[in-house]
Amino acid sequence: MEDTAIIDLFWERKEAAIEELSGKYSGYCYKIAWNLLMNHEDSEECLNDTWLSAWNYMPPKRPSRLAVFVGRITRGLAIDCFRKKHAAKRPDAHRADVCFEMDELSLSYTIEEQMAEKKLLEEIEKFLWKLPKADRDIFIRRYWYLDPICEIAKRHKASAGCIKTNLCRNRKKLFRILEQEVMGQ
Amino acid sequence: MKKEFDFAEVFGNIDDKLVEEAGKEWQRTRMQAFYLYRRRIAGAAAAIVFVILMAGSPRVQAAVKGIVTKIGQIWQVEKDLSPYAEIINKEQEKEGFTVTLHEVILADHKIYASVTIHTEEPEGLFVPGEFVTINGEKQKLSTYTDETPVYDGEWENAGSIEDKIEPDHVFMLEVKDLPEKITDIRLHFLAYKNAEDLLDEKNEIAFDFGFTVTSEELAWNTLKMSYDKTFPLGEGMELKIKDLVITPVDSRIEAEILGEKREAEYYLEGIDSLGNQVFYYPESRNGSRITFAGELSVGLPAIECDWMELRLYHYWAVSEEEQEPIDVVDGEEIMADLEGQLMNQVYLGEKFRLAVNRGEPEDYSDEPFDVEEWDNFVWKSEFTIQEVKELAAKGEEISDLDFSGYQLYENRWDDEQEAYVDEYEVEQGFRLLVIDNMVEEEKKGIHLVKDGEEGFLDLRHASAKEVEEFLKK
Repeated sequence: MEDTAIIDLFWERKEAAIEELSGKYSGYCYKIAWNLLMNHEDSEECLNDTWLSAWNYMPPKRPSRLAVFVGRITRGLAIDCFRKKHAAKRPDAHRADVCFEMDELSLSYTIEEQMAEKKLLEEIEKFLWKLPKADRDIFIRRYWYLDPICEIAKRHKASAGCIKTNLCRNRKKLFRILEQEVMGQ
Repeated sequence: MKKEFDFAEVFGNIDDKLVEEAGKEWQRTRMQAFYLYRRRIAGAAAAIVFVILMAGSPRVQAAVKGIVTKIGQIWQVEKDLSPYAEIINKEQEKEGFTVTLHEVILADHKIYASVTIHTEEPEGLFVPGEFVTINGEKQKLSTYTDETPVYDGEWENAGSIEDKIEPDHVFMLEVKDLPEKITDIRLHFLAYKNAEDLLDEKNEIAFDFGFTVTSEELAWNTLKMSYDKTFPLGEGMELKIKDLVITPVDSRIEAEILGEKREAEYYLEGIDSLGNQVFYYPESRNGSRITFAGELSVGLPAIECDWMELRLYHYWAVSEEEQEPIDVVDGEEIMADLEGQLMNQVYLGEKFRLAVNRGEPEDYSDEPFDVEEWDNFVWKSEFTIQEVKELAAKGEEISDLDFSGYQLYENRWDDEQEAYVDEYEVEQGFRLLVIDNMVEEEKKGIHLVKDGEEGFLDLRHASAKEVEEFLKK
């Protein structure tokens, strides 16, 4: 079923809406959750929460890209779930890496800068668009889709080391840009 | 009051377009010779046999921006090949086979033909004939290959080879001898209902497609240059460039490596005057002579370009004991890795330029390209002190200047600067650093440094007095 038709079902508050949405996107969303959680139960729970959230968001929302919309919900839920579960203990390799890598890019800023977060998002987007296409793909696959390094390496026919190096350099570049924006230099 | 910026959360809200783009299948470009899958058949003795599936609906071509030819669609290249293509669009139907010849591209001694084959025969086969007819006379083919991309068994979700053969094909037919003047060409293809039918000529189902062409059109698709240029590579080695051929779909450079110290593989990488990335892999080698080949899908100079700037790289397999890491990330040494084999790769010598001359067609009114100017072009090896002072006087404007007339001493990635740095020599032991730093909003930083001394001078913002004092070091 076309995305617009699925969204119409949500707007019409028809039960078939969730069935159609999950039928089309459960594989896609499950993968995003699994990439971080690597646990069937937790991933399934994220999926169920995703459909519920979609039901609550639509209406009034009418997303232009339904896949990205639901993927974003799942990603957020997966990150929250991961953080709750692993606040006390150190998780294993891939999951630790991707979250620690993202934490490297987190900053502190003063609350007076009300527009700071919006501005920082703009800087991130500007940074991404300036990257060479392959670098951009690697960065987004890692930090939005939460892909493990080995999968990104396979996707780009590169070694894991190359992907790690690429991510490390671009994280450093982005951190410097964000820091400048926050510090106002 | 401080607030935390949670990158993980905020990154989730990036533009949908960015997410969608990364959600698609990744279209790889092959940057190394090891990934090439094209096979050449020497002579006409071996026939290439292609298995065609039960007739089904034609493959839905990915919508790729700028593709207007069938050849471009099949090869999935964005370059518009229509200026170089003869559009044929003829269809023939015989004994259960429907064959459409879409277009041909004539390049040097090669004919690239895009063909679509449909058949109900479950074991049907389709091959080019062993000759083409030019001006009414048969010309034997020295080579013919199927240039249609196939899965090499390593691509994700790849099934068997047979599962991936599509009805659309690009055939390359290489003619050994071309007459001086060409007026018409006939291409010959043969279909068979099954493999057993190959054994008897009587079972051939012949398809002939004819079209006219002018010699001017043929010449326009092929550019040939001869050089006798030698470039130093260091350590007593030299690169001699002899010949260059550029067509819209491929390119060749005949070269020689002199004074080679160790057995190694080489490749050439660079850019043409129109900004196209260029890559040549070593197609064949005979002693010190190497034929470098370029392909459309990997990186080809435009036939319309004025020059190409190239650099030679060499790479060799190393033992684990010999290998040094190219980087260290999180305490882990990163090694150059190519197809699972440990390799070292280093550039040799400086970048060099080749002038590419192209005569203009008769209906062009532009002035002819000055070959002599490029043949005699000499890069300045270093900046003078006076030139540095003049640069500094321009202030911020110097970020927009082009230093391509100067010999580049070194290009490197600087971790601390998080930028690519081009380094140029200045007389009296100074160096000029051009820093391409993303944080600076695409404005290049220009720094002056002195060998053996700490500190630098930012030429974009230095006063004349500061420049004078720095130059006294």
